[in-house]
Amino acid sequence: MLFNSLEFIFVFLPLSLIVYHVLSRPRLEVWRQPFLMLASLGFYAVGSFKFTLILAVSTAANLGLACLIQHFRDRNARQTMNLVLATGIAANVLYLIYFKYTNFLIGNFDGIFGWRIPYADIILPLGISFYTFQFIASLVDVARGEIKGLRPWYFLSFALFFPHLLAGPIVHYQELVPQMELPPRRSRTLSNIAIGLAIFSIGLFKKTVLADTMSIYADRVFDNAAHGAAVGVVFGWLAAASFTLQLYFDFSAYSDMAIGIARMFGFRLPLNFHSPLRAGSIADYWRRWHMTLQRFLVSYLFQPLAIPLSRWAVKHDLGRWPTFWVSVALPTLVTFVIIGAWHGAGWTYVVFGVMHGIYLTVFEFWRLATHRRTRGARRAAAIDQTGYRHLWANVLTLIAVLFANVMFRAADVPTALAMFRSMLGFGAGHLAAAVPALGALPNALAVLLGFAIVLSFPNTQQILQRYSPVFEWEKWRSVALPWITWQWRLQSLPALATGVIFCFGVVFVMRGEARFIYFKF
Amino acid sequence: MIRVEGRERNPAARGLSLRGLRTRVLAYFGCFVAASVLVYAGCVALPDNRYIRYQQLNDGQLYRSQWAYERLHFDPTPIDIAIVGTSRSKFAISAPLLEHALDQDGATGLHVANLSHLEGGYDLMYAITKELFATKHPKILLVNVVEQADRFGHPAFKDLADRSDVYGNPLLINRDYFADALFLAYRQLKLWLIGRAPEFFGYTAAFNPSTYAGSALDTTGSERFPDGTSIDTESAHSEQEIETLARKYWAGVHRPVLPAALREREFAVSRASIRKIVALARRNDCTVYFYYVPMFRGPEQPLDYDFYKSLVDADHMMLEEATREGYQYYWDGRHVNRAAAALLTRRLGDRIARLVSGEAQERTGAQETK
Repeated sequence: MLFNSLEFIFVFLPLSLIVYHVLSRPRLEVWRQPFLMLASLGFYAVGSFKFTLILAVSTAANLGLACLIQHFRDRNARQTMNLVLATGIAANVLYLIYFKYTNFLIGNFDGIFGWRIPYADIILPLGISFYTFQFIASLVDVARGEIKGLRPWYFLSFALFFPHLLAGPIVHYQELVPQMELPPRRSRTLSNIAIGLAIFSIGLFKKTVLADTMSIYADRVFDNAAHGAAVGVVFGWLAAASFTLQLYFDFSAYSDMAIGIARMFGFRLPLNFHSPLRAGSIADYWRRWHMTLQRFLVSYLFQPLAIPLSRWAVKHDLGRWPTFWVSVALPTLVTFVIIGAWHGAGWTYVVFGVMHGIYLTVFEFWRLATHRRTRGARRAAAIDQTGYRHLWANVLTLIAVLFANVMFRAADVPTALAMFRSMLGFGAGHLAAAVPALGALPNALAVLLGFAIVLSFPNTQQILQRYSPVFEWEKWRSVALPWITWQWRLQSLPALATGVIFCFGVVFVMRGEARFIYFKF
Repeated sequence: MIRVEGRERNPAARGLSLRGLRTRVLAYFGCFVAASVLVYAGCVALPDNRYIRYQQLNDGQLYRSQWAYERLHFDPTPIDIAIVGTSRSKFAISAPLLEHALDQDGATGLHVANLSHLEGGYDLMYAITKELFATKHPKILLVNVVEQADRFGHPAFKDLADRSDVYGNPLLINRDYFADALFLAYRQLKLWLIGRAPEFFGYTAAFNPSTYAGSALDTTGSERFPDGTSIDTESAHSEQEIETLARKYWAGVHRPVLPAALREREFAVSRASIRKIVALARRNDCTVYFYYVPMFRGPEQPLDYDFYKSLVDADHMMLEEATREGYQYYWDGRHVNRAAAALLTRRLGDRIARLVSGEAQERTGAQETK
């Protein structure tokens, strides 16, 4: 079921909220978590019934593994625990590889070695990339002792909780379960619903009005380019900008809606986007783009790679730059290749990851190189935090992101390269040539408006900041402050504004229910 | 435990009682709903240009809706015989051939317009019929019916119908009612915006005769649609191919699931639309004929034949059977090909010519009696 569907907005969500809050009464409390779990399964089954079994198997297996790890940890059987943990991680990774990359690998082996392996009949289960990472995080957290007293019933509720099930945010057990354990405070039920509805409405508006509008033009140009049409400089840049805005509005809208729905149930989810397109550096961009994925990869991949490599480099006294290459550049590149590949089984995603890995490496190199001359830590931090106010830093970051997003969106690598050539003026058909009648002018205005919103307006959590909209909001409260400020309150004027954007969000659903981009990952 | 972070404080700490908080939140929801309803109503009430409305489908298979509007509103040629229907009648009746056949049969000077649209759903037929009678005065209206009426409406009804018709569609057992009603707000907003600067959005507010497809458009030929898809009505297909396609289609036909007593309710949208078409035609002194071309080896008459017969005289049911058993007449399991269309159009011409001459004789006889 899609968040941006009438069935969800007007039937599933209100009904599940009513039943959940009725079951929060002391006499019925025992049914609250089971209901949440069943509602989540129902939500998943409506959209992809055939994959429900796959989800159920994965969830049950991971629950079993988590219990085992906990068991061995409690008995101080470290080696056995590590063995179970390694088995669990490997099983999850293989599970993901099987569903996501089998045909990609077959295609490549066929291409390289001339084998004639037939493609497997595999369809990617919805949300598998997200829930698999969440399970891996849970297993590691149990092993690290960050989850104490694992409660199976709550594990199921946490794992299947429908707002974050399909496309994140990637939540940790210890973030959500303590909230689930507490019975909702009835005095806060209505205000939580009002706050959640406001967040949800903003997300819905971002998706149906903004993201889907941006997609019209971007899709046309990229589809034409995939069929070999010359795109031209103007159309190329316009399409790249349109897609960048589409991607941001689309995915951040999903996160907003997930956060809003969770809040209606009384839970706070972690922040997933914090105005990344205002970032003044590529490092800052990645700190604020798909934050829960970055957090996962930094905790469970980058740091486990970088820390031993740094120790090894120090131990062997490699010197400043070799140490940089071993302990920063290498883990960064590996991490970003995995980020790219995680997005999808295609070379465009791998190259997308490589591009961002190179951007990050260059940025870290520059930061290290200028460190001594400019007391750079302070300067770099300033660029990170308020960089979007420095136009050049913001523009440079944005251009780098735009190019990477062209690779992300293109049908294949040659199409992306053709788009790059067009954008740089080397392609066939200079300026606005070749792709006919695509409505470039309305789209140019839409892109300008989109960037004006992104660069000047407060983001969703900044609008809702009086009500701590996300988990650990205090960490982000003073980051990327907008030029225009406006705060939502539980008052009539904001209610009118929320009603207006909710209505426009619903009305634009009728343009056609477009799936969220990240559903295919 | 949920921590109260930032400036969010306990209501009691702000001197707000729980009751006060509840009142405030309820007032909030009241404002929220009021704003939503007002915005919706405001959007729906926005005026639009009907000509632009009929251009909305120009990028897909229903792009001929613009021609239909132009034929009805900008072409002064009268329409004596109008055909409204689905893809069945679109591919089965050639308007220029029918005019020619009528000419040959002595019914000269009659003008035919085939206003059929692709895809099923009788509510769109009503919207087109309404548009027809707003400007033209046909004597005969051929309403195309199929084996079994759709349970729901046409996907383009919401795009072309008037607001009152969308709201006036039956509510019960109408899957699309609320979606169509919500869509109206989007449609009117979009059309209003486009109406400010049509050319900017790729539309036109003024009729351009040079792009007009003509009075008697032949709809039976092969066609390439603006969305890149195409239909070939001229190639030959094997019996097995046609039979497979027919079976596939038949499997997807909406068979009744409710008891016969509830048939009216189950097919409420289709039946209400047909009733409205017949009533509208009667008000405009136009004779309605139901025209049925079966699918390959389909039933000899529509499954809801009795319903149609209850609305018109028995001889106003035109059940075609010439193609039913011949796979060579179809380009898929249910649509006749171009050669069969020529055959059916000639047969239809003969039939209408007989009807017209019969009516003329009746009139002459009546005058002589006087």
